[in-house]
Amino acid sequence: MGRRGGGAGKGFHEAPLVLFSALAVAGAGIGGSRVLLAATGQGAWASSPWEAGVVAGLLALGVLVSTLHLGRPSRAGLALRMVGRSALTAEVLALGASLAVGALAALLPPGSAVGGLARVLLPWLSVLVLLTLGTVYRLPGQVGWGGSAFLRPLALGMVFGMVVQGAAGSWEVGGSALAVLLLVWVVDALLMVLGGRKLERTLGSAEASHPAVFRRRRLLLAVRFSLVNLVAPLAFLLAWTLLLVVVLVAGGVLLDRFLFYALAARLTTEGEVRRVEAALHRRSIAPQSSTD
Amino acid sequence: MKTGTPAWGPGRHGAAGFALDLGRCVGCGACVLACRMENRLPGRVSWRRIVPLNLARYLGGPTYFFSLACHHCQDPPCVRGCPSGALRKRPDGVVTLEADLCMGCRYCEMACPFKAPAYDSDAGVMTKCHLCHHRLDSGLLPACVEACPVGALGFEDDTAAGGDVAAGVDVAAGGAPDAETRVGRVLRAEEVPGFVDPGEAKPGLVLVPPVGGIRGAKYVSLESLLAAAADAASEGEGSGHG
Amino acid sequence: MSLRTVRTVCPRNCYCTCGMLVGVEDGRIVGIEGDPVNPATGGKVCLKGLSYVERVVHPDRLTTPLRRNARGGFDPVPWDDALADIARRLETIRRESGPSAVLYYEGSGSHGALSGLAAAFWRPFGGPTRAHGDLCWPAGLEATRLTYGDNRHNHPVLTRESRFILLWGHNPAETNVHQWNLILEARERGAKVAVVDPRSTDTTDAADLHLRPRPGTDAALALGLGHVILAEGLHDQRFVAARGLGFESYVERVAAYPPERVAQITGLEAEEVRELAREYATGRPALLVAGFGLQRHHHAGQAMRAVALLPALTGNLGVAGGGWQYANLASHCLRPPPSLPPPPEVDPRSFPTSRLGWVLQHLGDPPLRAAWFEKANPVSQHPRTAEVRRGFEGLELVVVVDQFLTDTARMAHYVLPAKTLFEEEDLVTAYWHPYVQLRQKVLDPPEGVRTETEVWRELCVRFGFGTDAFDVDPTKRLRAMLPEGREGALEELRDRPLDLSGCGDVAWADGRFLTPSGKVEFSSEEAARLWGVEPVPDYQPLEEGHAGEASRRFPLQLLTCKTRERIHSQFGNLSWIREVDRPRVLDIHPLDAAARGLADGDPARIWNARGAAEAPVRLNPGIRPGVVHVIEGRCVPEDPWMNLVTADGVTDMGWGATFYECLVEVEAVSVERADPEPEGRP
Repeated sequence: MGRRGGGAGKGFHEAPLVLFSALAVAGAGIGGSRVLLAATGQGAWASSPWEAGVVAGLLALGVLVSTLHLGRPSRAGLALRMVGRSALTAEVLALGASLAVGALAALLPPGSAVGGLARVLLPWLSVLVLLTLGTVYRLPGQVGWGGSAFLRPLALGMVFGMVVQGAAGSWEVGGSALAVLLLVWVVDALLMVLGGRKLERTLGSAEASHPAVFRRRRLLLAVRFSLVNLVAPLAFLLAWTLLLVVVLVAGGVLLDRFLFYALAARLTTEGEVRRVEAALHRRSIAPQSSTD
Repeated sequence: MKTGTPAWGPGRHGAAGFALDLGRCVGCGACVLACRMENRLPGRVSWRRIVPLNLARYLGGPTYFFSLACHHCQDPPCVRGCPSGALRKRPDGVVTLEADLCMGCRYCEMACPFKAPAYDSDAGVMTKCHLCHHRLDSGLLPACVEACPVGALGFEDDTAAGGDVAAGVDVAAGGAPDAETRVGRVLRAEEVPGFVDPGEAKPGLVLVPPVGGIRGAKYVSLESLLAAAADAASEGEGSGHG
Repeated sequence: MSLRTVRTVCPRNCYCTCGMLVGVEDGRIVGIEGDPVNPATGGKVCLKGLSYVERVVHPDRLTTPLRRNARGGFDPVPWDDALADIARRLETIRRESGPSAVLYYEGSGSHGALSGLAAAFWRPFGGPTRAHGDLCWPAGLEATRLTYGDNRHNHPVLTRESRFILLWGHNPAETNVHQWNLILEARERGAKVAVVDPRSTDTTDAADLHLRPRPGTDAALALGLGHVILAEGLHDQRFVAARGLGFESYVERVAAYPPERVAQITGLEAEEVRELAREYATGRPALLVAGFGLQRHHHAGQAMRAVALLPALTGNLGVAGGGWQYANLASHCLRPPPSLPPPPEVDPRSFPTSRLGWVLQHLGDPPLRAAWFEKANPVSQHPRTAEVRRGFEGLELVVVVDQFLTDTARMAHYVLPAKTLFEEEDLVTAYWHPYVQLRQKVLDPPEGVRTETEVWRELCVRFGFGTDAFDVDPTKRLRAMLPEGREGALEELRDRPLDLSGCGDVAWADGRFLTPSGKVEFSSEEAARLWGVEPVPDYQPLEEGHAGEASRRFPLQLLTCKTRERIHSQFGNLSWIREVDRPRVLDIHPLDAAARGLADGDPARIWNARGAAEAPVRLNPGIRPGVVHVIEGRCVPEDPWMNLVTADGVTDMGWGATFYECLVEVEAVSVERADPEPEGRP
């Protein structure tokens, strides 16, 4: 039984971050999926103005929501001070750049050279956003956020983006694009499984940030897995309406992001102490133990 | 273990951090209250906490208490991550948080493996132990160190050395340590099995092991207690917690 | 530290009685530190001392008199109304039934010489019923007095010089942090530490030897140690011959306690009894510190005498680093306040403190009709809570003076808000170090709070009693309370604590004891005459002990010990303390728990014929099987009512209490019990 002194209060303060990252994954996923589509010959390397508009809109909404998470939203500009030093600054820059480029890509007329450049750049900036969304959380001691976890926003974003693009008619079902979608689905599923196993392995010394949710992690992770990696692909393959598949994947994105923050677990002194005490307890009640 | 007045001054380069004598700390919490009092912390914020180990006294072992605040790491993850530069490692080793530069993104709270940054919900900014550098500048010890009634907390001004007990620490009132009864080597936090540094932050906390060579559970080395736990852990699966 | 620093002292019922430096800024206390000028407490206070910063301005602190209303709640009332009504009702009761129909009960919640001013009201009142003895330590005080003639011991800092420290029923790591510091220093110089305690504590963690006897068997252990010491010729023959009285009778007594018999009685190993005896007798100088815990049962006085004789047996008296340390009353040399009215001709009626519950209900001739409680919280802190509550319910008028709405205050008709230590200058004595300290005033009490001095004066005025005692200039008054000839010391007390006893740092250095014989009384006729006990102490099994009748039904011995976060029912309600406080759990050995189907964390009922309390289980291999423990003291609603199960016995001498002579059974809360739950208010 530890002492209560020290540290943050209870409550799920990360809620705005859940929404923000869901919007960012969604927007950047749509933008980034253009790279996959173009690579499989299913479209141009440049986003259409519509596409850019949707991307920019989602990202803008996301950035707005993220400022709601700040204790001092009016100081949001400070986030850009540590360029080259802070991973979070890098993420904010990537988002900002994508937003700006996306806006240009959406608003500038088709003939504009700058607009054209913007439309070509946007997909790659979107991929960058998806990567930074992952790398920003490679933090010491956070067991769920290390290792291959930094690829999860990228994989999930691509799944979402491809599905939405399909619903919007950007590619024909069948052929290499389908293969790529299925491949990304597999990658996402793999990352989920790997992450889950790593979490279970390091549980002994980890301290959950939100114990109540953490206790139900297996159920919640199963729901997320099902939504994105079972039900959605199944629905897709059974040729259900793509809109339905979009809804399923969108739900999965939201749940994924919620679980990302809610299942955060850290190696802490308290966690280490608990691990040690559990072992001591087991040793003390084991039949062959000598009690001092 | 008591510390002498540290050789402290502006422009001094070095590492800084707390030293905790595990043979003396009884987890009373005076340090927690003294910090609260000195820094006028609102009730919702705390910079120091006590973590007991083995309250139930398994295996005839003692209870050890860890009084923990910011470890003023040599390579602080909070400083590395802070997007606004509010967190900074000073040349003298203290890691400070300038509230005026903080936007309350709580990234440092996620980054710190040692739970040092504390969010002040009313002010919307992060706060953190600053080693009472305002006291250090006046030749005083940090409030928690000063208040500890059993002299368990100390202030190390040269933790980079590790190894033998740093100069300026006199280990017992009334004289030099008895070589037979005092383990001369202090442990860095990440050297204690079970308290590994998860990310090479190199925390500045120095754990002074209980005086060795004397019977009494408290003076059994913490390492052997933890080793027994490690043995037991490897025998069975790590139990899931949470 | 800040704008103004004031030197004062903590007046709690605590060994340390720390000198404090208080920082005041804009009329608020902003910082508290230990005062380095006190040689015993140095520049440190404990966490409770630091928490005063919150306590003084705590939102729950009472700042107006309260009167109980028809719904059982409280309404604020002006002082005039409250005192007028109280005075009227007290006068009516006095007229109808006599002054002894009123109980005036003063507890240990706050120490200060000015509490003597209460007599300025109660004496002319005619002498209310009082309590004698107390809940805490009187058996040991009397035992020490009978053995050595007075309660005094070496200056605490001499602990450093000990080579062997035996802590008997004492947990200084929790209850005397400055002593603990000194013990750690002695240890680092090579001293060994032994502890006799049925529990494992932070103190036993640092012990070389830890003996866990059955509670209440300490007399047998002490006599057994004496047996071994004598058998192996380890006693100090010269000292005993020159300074001991009745040694031959003692030799006869201990002959009946060989280690094997002691082992059987105490549940220890014969070998560890021998080991402790040898180490204590040969580790010179050896210090024996007895806590108050081992004297909380019926045969406490004799047990304490048996233990107290060991330093004499081994010649560890009158030496630095040695001694018998129980209580040091050297500083208790103050005179009562000047100009008090004369005491009444007839001694007021009084009863042993522990019996409060019974007395409130059953005393006749006249029965008690009203009671005034201050510095006390008997509803939760007295043994046998159910009786105490019933007693309270039968009173027409209960006045409680306190800082917070405690369990006792909640049963009052009137609650008067009490000042804190910072709000009136006073003289404070101690019982560990020899210093008298001046508790200088730091700030005025909040609006609506009056000092007791003012309240007594007001009551005297209303009753038409003289107010001479109150009309003395406060500084002159304090001066007149210093020992005769030392009135001038008041100025010096502003700067430092003073030892006004003239006793010297080493107690009994001259070998002249203050007993009737002038020697250490191994055999005491005085004890037999005053208390009807054996002249040479013997072990007597407890009626409610491990071998008694009741143990067949209630086989577990319950201890309710102290911790460092609280003083009984004080401090635990502060958020600063709650941040580091520990949960109230039932410490029970895994074997005892397994036999009852109890797992870690299970809610458990601790019960006997007197009542039941609840606390969650903590499996604790460190406690002696057959013994269970819950921390005592009720500060917040979640704290268990442990005194529902304790008994209101009286010790064999001194009129102390028997909290630790308590047999219980423990079961899971879900188990249905045949006995109905005792009635009691939540």
